[in-house]
Parts: sequence; C-alpha cells; structure tokens
Amino acid sequence: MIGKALSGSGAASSPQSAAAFLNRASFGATDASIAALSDVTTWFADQAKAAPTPGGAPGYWASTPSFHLDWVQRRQADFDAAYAAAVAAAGPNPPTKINHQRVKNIQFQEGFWARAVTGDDQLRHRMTLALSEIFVVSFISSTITPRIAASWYDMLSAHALGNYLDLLKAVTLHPAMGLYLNTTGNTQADTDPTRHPDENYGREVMQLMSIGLVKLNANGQPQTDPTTGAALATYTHDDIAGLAKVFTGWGWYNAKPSQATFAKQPADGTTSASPDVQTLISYPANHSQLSKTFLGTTIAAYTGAQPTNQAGANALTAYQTASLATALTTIANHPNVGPFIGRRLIQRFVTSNPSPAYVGRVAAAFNGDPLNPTTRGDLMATIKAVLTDPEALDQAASLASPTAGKLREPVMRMTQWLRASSATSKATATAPNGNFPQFADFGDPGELAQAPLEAPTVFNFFDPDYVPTGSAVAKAGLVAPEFQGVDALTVASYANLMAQVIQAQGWPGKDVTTAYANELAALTPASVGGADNNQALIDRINLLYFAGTMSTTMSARLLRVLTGTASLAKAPTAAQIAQVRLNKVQNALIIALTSPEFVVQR
Amino acid sequence: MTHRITPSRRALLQGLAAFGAAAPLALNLAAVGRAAAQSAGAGSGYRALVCVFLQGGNDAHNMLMATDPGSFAQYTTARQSGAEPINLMPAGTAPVAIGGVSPVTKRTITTTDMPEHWGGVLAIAPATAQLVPPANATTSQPTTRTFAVHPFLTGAQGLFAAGRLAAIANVGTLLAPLTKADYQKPGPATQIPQRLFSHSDQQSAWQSGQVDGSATGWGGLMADTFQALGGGEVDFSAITTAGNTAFLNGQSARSFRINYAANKATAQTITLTATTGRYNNSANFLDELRASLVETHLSAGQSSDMVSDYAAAVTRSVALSTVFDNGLTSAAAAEAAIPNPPAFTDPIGGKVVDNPLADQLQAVVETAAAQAQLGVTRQVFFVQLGGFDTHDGENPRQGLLMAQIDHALSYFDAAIAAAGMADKITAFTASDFNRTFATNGTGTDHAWGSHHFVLGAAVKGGDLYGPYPTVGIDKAASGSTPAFTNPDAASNAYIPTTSVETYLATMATWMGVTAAQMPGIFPRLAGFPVQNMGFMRA
Repeated sequence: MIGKALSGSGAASSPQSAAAFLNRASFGATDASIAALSDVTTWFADQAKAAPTPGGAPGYWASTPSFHLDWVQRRQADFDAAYAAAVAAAGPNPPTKINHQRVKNIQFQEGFWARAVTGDDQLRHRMTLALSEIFVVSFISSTITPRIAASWYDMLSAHALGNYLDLLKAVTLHPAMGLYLNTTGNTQADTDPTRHPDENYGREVMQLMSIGLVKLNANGQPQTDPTTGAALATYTHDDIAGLAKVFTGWGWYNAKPSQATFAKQPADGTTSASPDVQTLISYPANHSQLSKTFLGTTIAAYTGAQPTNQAGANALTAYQTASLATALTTIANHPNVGPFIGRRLIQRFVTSNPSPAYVGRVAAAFNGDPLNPTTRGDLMATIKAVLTDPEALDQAASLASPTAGKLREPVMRMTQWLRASSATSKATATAPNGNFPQFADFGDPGELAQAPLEAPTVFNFFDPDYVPTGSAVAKAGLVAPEFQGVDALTVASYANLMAQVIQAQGWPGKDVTTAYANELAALTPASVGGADNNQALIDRINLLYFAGTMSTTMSARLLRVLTGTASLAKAPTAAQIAQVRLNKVQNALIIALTSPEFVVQR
Repeated sequence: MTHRITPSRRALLQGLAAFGAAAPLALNLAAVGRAAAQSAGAGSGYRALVCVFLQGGNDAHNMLMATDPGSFAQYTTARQSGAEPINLMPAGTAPVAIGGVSPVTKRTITTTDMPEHWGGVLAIAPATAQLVPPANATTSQPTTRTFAVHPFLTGAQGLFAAGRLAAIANVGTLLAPLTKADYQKPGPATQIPQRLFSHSDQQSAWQSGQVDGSATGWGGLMADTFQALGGGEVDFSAITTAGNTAFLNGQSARSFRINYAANKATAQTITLTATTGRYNNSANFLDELRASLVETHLSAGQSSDMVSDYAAAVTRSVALSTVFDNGLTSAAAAEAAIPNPPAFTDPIGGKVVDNPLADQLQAVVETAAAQAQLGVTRQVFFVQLGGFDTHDGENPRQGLLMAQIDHALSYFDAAIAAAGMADKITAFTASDFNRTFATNGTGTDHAWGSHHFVLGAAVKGGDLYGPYPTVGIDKAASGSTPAFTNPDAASNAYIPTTSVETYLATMATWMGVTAAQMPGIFPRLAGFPVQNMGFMRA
C-alpha cells in the first residue's frame, strides 16, 4: 500500500499502486514515474521543490516561474522573426500582403500541453489545472489575451501548493480576473444614487471560489434550519453589495495612472514588465469611501483626506488596500472554505462523491492547527490529504463500490495517452526538443470538448453538483460533474478523436508523435521468429492506463484482438511483421482508451 | 496549421454550459426501429417549440422600452451615467456620424459603440393599449403608453408590425404571485424564489422551476407527454444544439445533441464503426471495438454507476446518430427548401462575423423539416447564445448580441416560411434574469423580471402581453424634487408580474399539452391568476 510508504515504511508496495496514485496526482503514469515512486512522502517533497520546469532541451524551456508567459512571448518572437524573414525575402514590392501572425489561445495552450506531457513539476501543474477550474477565467466571451492568460496560469501555478489566502489575493488583483469578472473599471458610486458598484466579482468570489451558497458543517454537509429543513444561506445580496464596494477602485497598472488608464485594457506588451500583465493597482478616487458590511464584518467609512492631493490619495490607497485585505481575510477564514475547497479538489483528483468523513479530513488539513492561524489554508497539506486519504488509496474498496471514482476529464485522458506513449514533438531550430503545438486542427469529429482556460462561463466545464438525468448516478442520489460534458455528440467525438490520434501516432501534421517504442518492445519476442508477446502489451496497458485494475472482460477482448491481428502473408517480411506489431498497438489502444471502463477512473 | 479556434470548436466548448442536468438513461432500442415505422402520416399535426436561451442574463431594459415621456426620462436618468453611458436615444433620433456632436447628449461621437451613433430606439405599436402607470405619468389625464425596441432590432420591429412577433413584459421566476411589499417584508406565507440573481440557479429556475441541480425541466416534461402520441418521440422529441440543459430533461425524455456546423444539422457518428472488413491487419478488431464502446466490462463482482452511465450514453449516441442522419438525408427535398442564413455584419465592428444563433436555428428548421422521417409529431428544441452577462462594456457587447438576435430571428422567420412550417414552429426567448435598471458605470448587474419575444406564424404577434412595469428607481425626496416610488420594482429589480410557468404554459397549450397534464409539468401554474396569456393561436 502506498499509505504505508507515507508512514515511512519504505517503498510503494507495487507498480500498480504507484500507477493508481500517479494517474491522479500527475497527468498520467509513465514507466519512469512509476519506477521513481518509492516513497510518497519523498514524492510530495520533490514536487514542492519543483519550479514550473518542463522537461526538454535547455535554452528553450527555461526553468522559471513565468514559464507560460515566457512561452507565449517566445512564440510571438518566433512569429515576428518569421514575418521579418518573409518581408526580407519578398523584397520592396511584395505581390501579396505578408501575414504577421499574432499569438492566439493556442500558443498559451501549447505551453500547457508541453508542461503536462514532459514537465517534472506534475503535481504543481496538475493542481494549477484544478484551480483553473475553481477560480475560472476564460478566453470565451472575454478580452483576455494569450499573454494575460499565460500570466494568470503562472500566478495560479506559483500559489498552487502555497497558501489559499495568498492565492485569493493574487486572483483578486490579477488582470485576467479584472477582465473576466470586471474588477477593472469598477468605480464607486458613493454620491450617485442611480448607480451602484459592479457586483460580479463580489458575488462569484463567494459563490464559486471560497464559501458557496450554503452553510456547511466541517464535513461539507449542509447546515439546515431545524424547523423548515431548508439549507441555510451563507450570504445575502447585502453581503454582495458590501463586498462590491471593497472591489471598487482597482485598475490597470500604469506608471502614471489617470482616469484614462483606470479601465482601459493596455495593448499587448512584450515583456513580463509590460502593463498588460501587471497586478492591478489602486485608483483611490474610484474607491468607495462608504462603510462596507459583509459576512458579519464591517469596514468603517473612510474619514481621511480626499484624494485631491498626493497625501490624500496615499491615505485613501492605504485604506483601500487595508479594506481589501480585511475582506479577503474574512472570506478565507470563513469556516466553509475548508470543506468547500476540499470537496472541489477531491472531485477534481479522486472521486465525485467523497464521504463526509473524507471531506472532513481534507477540510481539517486545510484548516491546519487552530492554535496557529498561519497554518490555515496550506494547499500542499490539503492536496496531500486529498491524494493520501484512505478513501483514495484503498483500491480494493474503490473497485468494490458502485459509486466510487469519477469520469476522467477529457484533457486528462489525452495527457495520459501522450505520457504513457512517450510522445515527442517535432524539433525546430528554436525548439530543439519540440514545442508541442496543440491539436487545434481537428474538425468537429475530433474535438475534446475541453481546453485549458476555455470554460464556457465562470461556472467551469463541470458543475460540482451535476446529476445526469435518469442515470444510475441519479438513482443513487449522487453527482457526476464531468458528465455535464457527456452527450450524444461528445461521446462520439471523443471516440473519433482517440481513434484518429492513436492510429495516426500523433496529432495532425505530426507536430506531436508517439512512436510506441515501449509498446512495440513489449510485444517483440525475445528471439527472432518467436510468437509476439501479446500478453506483455496487455499488461503494459493494464498498468499504465488502468493501474492494474483492467477487467478480465477487457483483457480477454484485447487478447482476442491481438491474436486476431496478423499478416495474411504466408511468410511475412520483416516490414510486414513490424506493421502488424504497430497495428496491434493501435488496435489495443483504440479499444482500451475508448472504453467506458477507462473513461471512468475508479 | 491553422492555429485558431474554429467556430464549431468554440460552439462545442460553449455548449458545455454550466447549468442544469441531463443525459443518459437505459436505452430504448426498440424505439429506434419504431421511428422509421411511425414516419407515415405523422405530418400535418406537427408542432415544435424552440427555446432561444440568452445565456448570462439579457439586459431587457435596452431591448424593449417604454418611451412615453415620464418612463423614458426615468430610463435616461438611470442610464446616462458613468464612464460609458448605456442609455439609448429617443425614438426618431437620427444617427450621429463619427466626429459629430449628439444633439441629445451633447457628446462628440468618437466610436461606433456609442449609442448616439446607432440612432434612436425603434417604435413599435402594440395592438392592445397599455396606460402610462401613475408614477410615470406626466399629465393628469391617463395616456396610452408607447414602446420601442433596440435600434439594432430592425427585423424584429418589422416582424412585430407584421403580426408574427409578440413581446411579453416582465416575466420572471416566481413561486406564487408576489407584491413588492411582501418581497421587501416577507410574511410567514410569502414565497420568494430561492437564490435570485445567481446565474446557475436562475438559469435552472427558468428552465425547470428549481434551482441548480434539477432533474427535470419544462421542455423535457412536455416531451414526456408527447410520447403518448406514439411516434419516435422518445428519441428525437428533445433536441439541443448546446449540450446538456435542464430544460430538455423529462422523466423519460432526454435531449439529443446535434451539430450545426457547416450549415447542416447532423448527428455525430463514430466513424470507425462504419468501417467494414479487415482493419489494421485484423479481422475481428472492428467487431470488438463496436462491442467494447458500449460494454461496461468490469470484473465479476464489480459494478460502477458511472461506467454504466457512460456506456449507456455511447449506446444511445451510436443507436440514434445514424437514424438521425438518415432521416435528414431522406428528407432531402424538404431540406433543399431551407436557405442558409445570409451573411451577418457586426454593426459596430463593421465586419462580417459568425452568428452562431442563426446557424443553430437553421439546424432546428432542418431537423423539423425531417419530422416525418424521424417519426416525430412534437418537438422541443434548445438553442443558446452566450455573452449576455454585460457587467461591463455593455454598449459594444449587448449591441452586437442584439444585432445577432435580430439577424437570427429574421432568418428563422424566413426559414420556417420557406420550409412551409411557419405556423408549426414557434420560437421564444428566455434568459437567466433581467439586469439592473441602473448602470454600474459601463454595464449592469443581475436582477429579475424581464421582457421576452415570441416568434412564429402561430403567434398572435404585434402585441405586448403582460403589464409593462413602472419605470424608475425609488428615491427619497430631495430639495424641490419629490420622492419617487416604483410599485413594481424593488431597488433595481422588477418584481415579475408574469411567472415563467404562465409564459411557458401558454405555449405548452399550443403544443397540445392538455389541462389535465398541465399540473404535472407546471405545478405552481394554478396558483397564478392567469394560466394562458393568449398570445398563441389555437
């Protein structure tokens, strides 16, 4: 048991338990990561140290906390260079207009895939994906640029294994959130009875990112009115209006801020110091000076000098900054946060329907030592509790339960295949070890229906309380968030996508390829002319994709398929034998990865 | 590589909308075969209802407004404020060119997203007069109220005048009739809807009468009743272009999602399963794949609800997708009559851009045109346009959306006529909620009672149904200005005077839902004074 390793008993008991752990904690188990996992305590310690450092060639993937922004900037530089070269080659009177490509969503997402497939900071990146689905911003229906998105991802990543309150502060003042939930440009209406501050962030920060709609017990169960049985609301509209005032007066960074710069999104910059990716700053004249009441806390009205001179502006900025700190601390200290965030993380990593006791244990890890408030909100301690809980580690109990587990989110299904298949990407002059372009060229039949930072709304791709109608899950009174993306169209799209990329050994254009070297090696008999080792390939798929839990129905099916995959030639050539082995890998992977048994992670 | 989000890809992502519930159930395979058998004779009685969901909460104050002097003055006062005023210009105001000065606001027009540049709101003349409410009256004599629509709703204005578009005033989520006094000081018996102003909950409440997590919705429950008609209803009675939604879930009816890319309604088939013969040097791979896709596998002694549910979803997709595509292919003659949407030009940006709403409506009409082949006599559709949560940048954002709605509804009117189904398909708008009456500086926040449109030849158009509320926000007296009290609004939110159930039940009746079936779908309907607003023909 991995659990024993945690308590210091040494190595993980089996490759299967290591794979089960890694298929949750990382973007998919690999030969190397299974072999390297001898002790979970050590693994977490290593992950805590890991800077966001993808693998690959030195010089292109810098080891830096601004990995994603660096990636996007480098891609823009690639485009700029290509444009300059084309202009130079075309001479003084080019016959057609030369396209100067700008970075798009996809260039941000290239970095996501590269880091997920090859990065050594798997837990941090995995946690960043999970947090990006709780603290949601999106390219969809917003003016978030690839640079701002990359900067946002770097920010989430930096805090992913840190402290919740630090994360909440950074989220609140990041320009991505400023754009997505309109904190930028939110101006006080203290003397204007016909107007009111924007309530968007004030509402959603409570509903979705911290405390939720309903008062929770420490184990995540709702608190109810003893007479009516109705769930108790955590807040009212008055609390939202109070918080909305706190979130006034934050605007775009500018060296010389003015009313003209307050709400105006800067043009794309070129460096990490450019205004478009800086933390929002105080515009004291736009901040509400009225008293602000929310969640039982009241911030007194501002009574100091008015911001008509520098001293007044400084005083009001100090008041504004202190008000924000008070508000975010009040939210972060609400007793709901532990069970609320805990349940969401359990759902992202382990199971859709954790027991109240499991939620309670994770919430306790989040809450830390009540006598030492600085231990509250430790996200590393929280995710450790999520991944090493007995309910997560007891594979036998999970398999025996009809309600355990979750639907793998589509991005994770794809990364698992890429990692297990040792995917590499095409090398270029500037990216000697490949750059992992994303699969944007697939038409509808090949869509994943999920892409990082492209949630349809602030409610993410998956509602934590989603119940598929008429389902077995519904009959059991349970939830299945990821089933929100399951419909007649997407299940077929997913099967088509996997069949296509497994068959093509990569993404269209061969930007990313899977040579299946390890899979082919497993098949190949020890002596030339011997029978293919079909069972070894099945065992490999079982370990990496199913953590050793593959059903006998599936293994028998795969064996039938592998046995039935053969050349028609009486005396196959070496090339024909090689082709059959490749086909075996393709056939087995297509069946395994499109099966309901794989799509649900138990 | 074309590194961009294709419209269809974007649509797919947007389709994963964040509300409601739906999906797989044990499959009724028998019904698949029956669909074809039922195709004969299903035709003449066909009717369909199309929910056009404006996701994010449409600012209906800028879609349908009262233009009598007192009302419009309140409107202008509340919205001509902040960094980017969001008040539209009075009816009859000429557009002001870039560089010009608006005679109304005295502003110099610098960008195409300033309302002065769009010209005034477009007057409509409802057949039934509504009187100016006392608080908005500017004379002691009762006078008839006047109305208008957003300057970009030129098509809707024409459809209203032609009698095919009706407007519905102040609809919203209600549990029972509610007064402002009871809302502000609830008594023990007062029923106030849960979680007002929350997107996920009010989207669900609009679609199902319950907050987030509802197992069934109005459209799905209607579809349940169609099954008694004995057609292929169980499979194709609830069609979505936008992913899972609460609206289309019934007790047994489930939504079927279709593609609308490339001007064609299609189901999604699993392409490899259509391949025959030897594949990848294997004689049994394709058969094993077909079996595996829908197999729960699992070892002896194990079971998994989610594995079963996913297998059921794939089973249903495989079973129905080909039936759907074949149905539309065999209806080729009817499909050929349906035009593609004309190009849509963003009136603010000036460029030709996608209008996903028009594309979705095309897929709806194409599906309806194949109703005989699909074996359905009643259908409920769900289409969606996102981006209505205009907390900021409301002028450019809602302006574009209004133009898209106008373009899509105008196209829909033409398409159902071309298909010969003008009086057989009715479209209606729905949205999370209305937005705040007052601006927050550049946009608006979440509110409640809202205004909507219903379109089709079966609609008694050209009229406004339901009382349009008093306009304005309560103000204490100050100096010589008297106090203002709006009996219809609590602060920034209209208290709805028509419940969503009444609005939808009016259309459900047209769809053939009987009085006896009504309480099973709309349990609170009987508690409202009006059960049928009368905007549908028989």
